[in-house]
Amino acid sequence: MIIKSLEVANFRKFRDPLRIEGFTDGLNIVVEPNETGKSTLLEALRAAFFIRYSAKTELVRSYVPIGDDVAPRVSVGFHVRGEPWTLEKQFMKSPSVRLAGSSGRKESDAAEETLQELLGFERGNNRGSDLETRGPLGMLWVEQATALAVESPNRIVRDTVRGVLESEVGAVTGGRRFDAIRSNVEVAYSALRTPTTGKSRGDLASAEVRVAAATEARQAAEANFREYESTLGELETAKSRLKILERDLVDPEVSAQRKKLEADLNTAETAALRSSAAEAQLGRADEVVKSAALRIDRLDGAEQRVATAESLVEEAQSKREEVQSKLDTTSNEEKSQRQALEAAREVSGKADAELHAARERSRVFATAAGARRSIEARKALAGLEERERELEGESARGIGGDDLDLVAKLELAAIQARARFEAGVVKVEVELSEGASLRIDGEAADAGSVDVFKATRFEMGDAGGIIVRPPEGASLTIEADLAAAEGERDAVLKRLGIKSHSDGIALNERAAAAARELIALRKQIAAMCPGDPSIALAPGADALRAYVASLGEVLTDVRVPTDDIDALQTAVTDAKLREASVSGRREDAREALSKAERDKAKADADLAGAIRESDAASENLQNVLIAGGRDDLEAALQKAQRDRAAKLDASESAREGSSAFDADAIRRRLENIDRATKRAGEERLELTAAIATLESAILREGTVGPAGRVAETRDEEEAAIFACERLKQEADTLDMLRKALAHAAEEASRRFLAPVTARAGRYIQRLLPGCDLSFSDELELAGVSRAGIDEACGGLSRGTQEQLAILTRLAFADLLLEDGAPISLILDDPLVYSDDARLETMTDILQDAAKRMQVILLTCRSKAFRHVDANRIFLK
Amino acid sequence: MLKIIHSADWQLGKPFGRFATDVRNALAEARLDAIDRLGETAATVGAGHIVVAGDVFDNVEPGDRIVMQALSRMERAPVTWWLMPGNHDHARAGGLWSRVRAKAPASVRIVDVPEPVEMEEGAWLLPAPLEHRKTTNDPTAAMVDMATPPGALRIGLAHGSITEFGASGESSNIIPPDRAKSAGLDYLALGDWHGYLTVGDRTAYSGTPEIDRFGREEPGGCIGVDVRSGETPEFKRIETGRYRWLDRRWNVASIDQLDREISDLRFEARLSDVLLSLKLTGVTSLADRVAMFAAIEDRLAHEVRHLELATEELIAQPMAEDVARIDVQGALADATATLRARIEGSGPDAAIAAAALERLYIEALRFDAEAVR
Repeated sequence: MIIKSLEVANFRKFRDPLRIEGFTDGLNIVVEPNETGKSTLLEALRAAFFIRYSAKTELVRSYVPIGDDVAPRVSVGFHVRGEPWTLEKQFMKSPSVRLAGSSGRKESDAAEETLQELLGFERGNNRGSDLETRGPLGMLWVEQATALAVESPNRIVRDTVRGVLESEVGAVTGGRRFDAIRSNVEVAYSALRTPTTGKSRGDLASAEVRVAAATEARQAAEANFREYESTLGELETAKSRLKILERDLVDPEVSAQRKKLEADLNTAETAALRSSAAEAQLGRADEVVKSAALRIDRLDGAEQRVATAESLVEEAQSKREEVQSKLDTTSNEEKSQRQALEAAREVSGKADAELHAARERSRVFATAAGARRSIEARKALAGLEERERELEGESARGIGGDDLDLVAKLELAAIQARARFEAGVVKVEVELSEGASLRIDGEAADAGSVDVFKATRFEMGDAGGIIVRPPEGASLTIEADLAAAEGERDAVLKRLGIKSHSDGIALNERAAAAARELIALRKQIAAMCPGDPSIALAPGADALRAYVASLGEVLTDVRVPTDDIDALQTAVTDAKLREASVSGRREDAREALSKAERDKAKADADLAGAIRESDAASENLQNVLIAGGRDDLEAALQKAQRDRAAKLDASESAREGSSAFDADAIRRRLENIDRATKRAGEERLELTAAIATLESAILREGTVGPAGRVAETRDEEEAAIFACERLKQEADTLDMLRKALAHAAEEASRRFLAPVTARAGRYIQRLLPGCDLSFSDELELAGVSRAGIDEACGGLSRGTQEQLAILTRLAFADLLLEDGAPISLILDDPLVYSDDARLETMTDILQDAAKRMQVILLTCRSKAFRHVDANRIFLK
Repeated sequence: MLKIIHSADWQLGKPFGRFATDVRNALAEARLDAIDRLGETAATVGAGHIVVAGDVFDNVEPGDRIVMQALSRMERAPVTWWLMPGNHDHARAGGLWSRVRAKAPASVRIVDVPEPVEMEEGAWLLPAPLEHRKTTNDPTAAMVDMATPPGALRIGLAHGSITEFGASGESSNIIPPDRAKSAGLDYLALGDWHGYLTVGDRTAYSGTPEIDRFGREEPGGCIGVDVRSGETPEFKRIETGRYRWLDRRWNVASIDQLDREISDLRFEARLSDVLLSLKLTGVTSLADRVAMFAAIEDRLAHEVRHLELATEELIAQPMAEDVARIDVQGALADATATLRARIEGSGPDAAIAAAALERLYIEALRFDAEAVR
């Protein structure tokens, strides 16, 4: 198909009619600036061919220029298979279509139908959206936007291509039949397994669940049965044990053995009894022997004791005699010494009395002398005491410091009061002439000065009177104050007995002198009374006064004694010494006597004791002898010893007899037998109870049929496994089949599409060397593989995608061309994203293609395609 | 003379777990029905006793339901039942038989101790009950020493193999073949062998009254015995079984051959009472194989009570027509080629590949059938 001319009017931007002519068979490049409406040209072509003239769709309304009410019109001149055709279409207003060719003209629907037939498309939906119906031209008239997308060709193209391929390749995929079978297989498979993961589902999954459940049930049943079996086993064991026990319980051997043991025990006990009796007898015999021997010993002892006692008596008697003689000697000695002492005492007493008398006399004399001295001292003391009293009175007359201060103060106050008085008083000095009389307030006065402190009338003779008035107010009080002060001073002075303060000071000085003299005087008095021990006089004046007062009036006259007291004293001392010496000797004698007396008493006592012991010993011996004489006793001992020997033999033999039977061992054996029997009895009870429990368990479990359950569950497990295996097998079979089908489909598709792949490959090899293509069933370019690595189209760059989109279109166009379809390739502003090298390759390819078909390139980039040798058409 | 019915191996309570529920129930019911039939048989021949030589129950501890079902059916028949423990239901202290005894009516006698018991005047039963699943001892040895009144009939009852069976020599519960003679028995009723078998003129296995496994073609039955003092007993086999367990191996190359086999089988037995274990062998085309399976699954499988089909040995040799049937060219043909290559490669997945190819073939046929419709 060759487009020769295109004319549009009232079509979108093109309000004015625009006619483009001069399209050639090969490559045409329509160059125009942006926005001049080159895309509108493609739209107009589409409108002319694919949109029914009578359509009023939105698309069609959009053809009308905005704001105009006109009829869009398109007319196209083209050749198909060398035959020229003209197509004219008017939309909206008086819509019409006219198709004119060499065979004639056609209008309206007939024209549309002829057009469709001619160009191989179908009636579409007029909205421009049903691309599936537009056939090869729909695919090859590529507008700007869709050029970018690698998409599958429309249905008509696909079918056509398929038709071409089928005739060319001579192979079919099997088509619907294959698809249906494959889908059935897939459905069957996916009923058993998830197609993607191969996981069991549906019947297979439930079969597997059934197997698992069956296995579990079988295991549970087996476990239960084993338990049941073991219960049965336990029961059997328990029963056989019980049987043995019961047999043991009535075992005659055991009871016979028991009887024999009891008899043995009896014998043993008797023997033991006999043995212990013999032993007791032996013990008694021992005792008899021992007491016989003891008796002889006692006789020996008694005799010995008598002998000893007698010798002791003798000894004591001789000792006593010796002591007696010594006592006599000592007694005599003591008597003489006593007499000597008495004499010495007499001498001493006499001397003593003499001394005493002499001393008395001396004392009386001394006392009398003392008394006389005291009286004289007393007399001297009286004078001193007189003076003391005087001094005491004088010193006591002193005035206290406070009082003196008070006097001074009061005197001062009185002086001050007087001063105040005198200041407030009118002093009236009167000088009287001789003979003149003065009367003051009627009373005669002779004073030369008068203090007036009230209205006072002075009358001097008859010359009349003068009344002197002191100032009003104060005079009376001042006078009173003065009087008070002077009164107070005088009162104090009177109390103290002085005339004035200075008089007080003088008085005090006299008192102090008296006090000093008094101290000296008192020392003198003390020295005069030193006291006198010979007359028991204490020192001090008071003691002397008291002593003298006690003496009374008369003093006896005493002569001076003449005794030689020292001689007397010496005589007394000598006598005392002699007495002491005699007394010592006498004390010795007395001591010796006392000792001799003690010795005598002891000897007497010893003797008495010895005699008593001797008597007791004799009596004892007599008592001992009562039990029998020595011969008797010895005979008895011998007999007892013989008896004991016999008893010992008897005891030995009895012991031997009893040791032949061990009673304890027999008793232990009996106990063991009894214990065993008792234990067996208990065990029988336990076993009986256990058997009952086990039997009831068996009865309970048995009714369920544990073995039956095992058999059932085993069968079920087997069946479940069998069923599951079958399903698995089926799934495996289906899996293999579906894979085989998938593989076959792929292979077939590859083989089937080989011509397309080969054609597109030719181009693509130039663009992307070493690249292989793959197409989907829908003839969509699925992807490319470079160096064995597959890439989906979506992952390629936009430029590459666009280029691939053009090239695959070209490949399909070639195929369609070979099929004789009318082909025209229009590209609206293509290869925008191509780099220079790619652009060049692409334009080369397009130039090649232009040798086989008309190619129209609409572009605003005249520079980009400047290198291309083509028919250029510029829009004005 | 004493008329008795000799039976054995009832195997009550056998679970048949691998069967479909309805089949399982039918088989279980049939085993119980066999008791009724034994009772009827006894009435028919005029026997007053039915001796059961062991394996009354399938296992040592069946549930109470089984026990009660069995006992209530026995109670209905006007005979005395003599039940003896076998190896499947051996006697154990406190076990199954205690329960049975506790529930049994007077007409049911349990002989679980090896002591002679008087069946009726002048007739003594000498049982050899088993106390273990396996005993190496001869359980019938004690019969020799079992004393019975002079002139009385001695009927032995035992469970186990006669020495002759034990090819491997490891059989348990072995009974010497001349036991009837050595123990002075007038008849020795044996159990354990599920088929009818006589050993000498006084010893016999009655077989099970209702067959319970494949490998035994004849229907179940019992033995009616006339025991006579001093003479050889007279006994004859009486059928009591309902279900037939048939094992078949058909070598079939085509659907026609299969059809012939099926019609033969139909003639041989009532298919509704048949449990069929069928093994197909041979080499066939895929088309025939599929057609045969269709024939079996669509018809035979429904006709019989139960079908176990083994087809591993029916080798499908895909013929050119088979492959063409799938598709002559295109993807389906490719897939077929892939699968065939795997089958011929006879690797580990060859069998799966064969199944997959068959499935593909079936799917193709199905699609075509639907397309026609």
